[in-house]
Amino acid sequence: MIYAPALALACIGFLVMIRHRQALLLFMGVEILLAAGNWVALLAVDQRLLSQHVAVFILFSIVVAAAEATLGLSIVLRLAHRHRTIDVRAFTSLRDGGE
Amino acid sequence: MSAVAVIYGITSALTVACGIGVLLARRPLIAGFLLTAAMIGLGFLFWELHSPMLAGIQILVYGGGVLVMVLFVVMLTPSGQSLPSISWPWRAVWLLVPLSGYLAARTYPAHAPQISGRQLGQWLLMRQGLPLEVLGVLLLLALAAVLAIAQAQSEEGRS
Repeated sequence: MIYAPALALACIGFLVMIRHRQALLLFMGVEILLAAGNWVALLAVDQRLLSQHVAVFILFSIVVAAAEATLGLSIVLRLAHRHRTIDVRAFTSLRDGGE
Repeated sequence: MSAVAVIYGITSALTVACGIGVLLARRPLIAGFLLTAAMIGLGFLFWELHSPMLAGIQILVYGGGVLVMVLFVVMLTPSGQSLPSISWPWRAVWLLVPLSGYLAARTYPAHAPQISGRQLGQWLLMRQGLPLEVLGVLLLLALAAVLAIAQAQSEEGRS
């Protein structure tokens, strides 16, 4: 039951990814999902894991999420420049020249 | 139920409410601001869970870095149009706000060990040197990849 609020936030992130078709909002859903994962990890300190292990895990998770967002958003910018939309249904190819 | 547990419950409810705001927002810019609020709320939750260092990193990286980038992308892409209105069943997710607040306040781990910045720094530098270096290389590679993508984009625009 201790994890229920974090799981609720994770569900919201998942629902954001299901409901929206704009690439940007899909990224927002992923960020919420990853942040909820960090919250679950921090709650696990008291239960089973050592605090340092969890802290390092969360630190790494934050850095990897930042790198993922940077790369993903640059790809979104490029696709938006090419297709004039950020609706993921319009993206059928990542390759230059592909429609 | 202690005062800290109540504050933890309220922060949890507000964070979940901001997440629901992202889900139900009709404009990407509003969703971006609500995501910023949710990430700052999560930072406060980390602080209430006795991890001030992780709270600071969470607010700095998500609230200050990633979200500014998201808002830039909102400005630079054709994402200004309103999203379609949501149907009534989706609004049932608002029930999660009081539920998560109540559950968080009831299950607040008051005796969780503190994770201070000193502990974290010592652990990272003394015992996790290689993973720390790998993280640095990962960030450098991500930066190089983004620069390569931007370079290709500017050449594509010129031709």
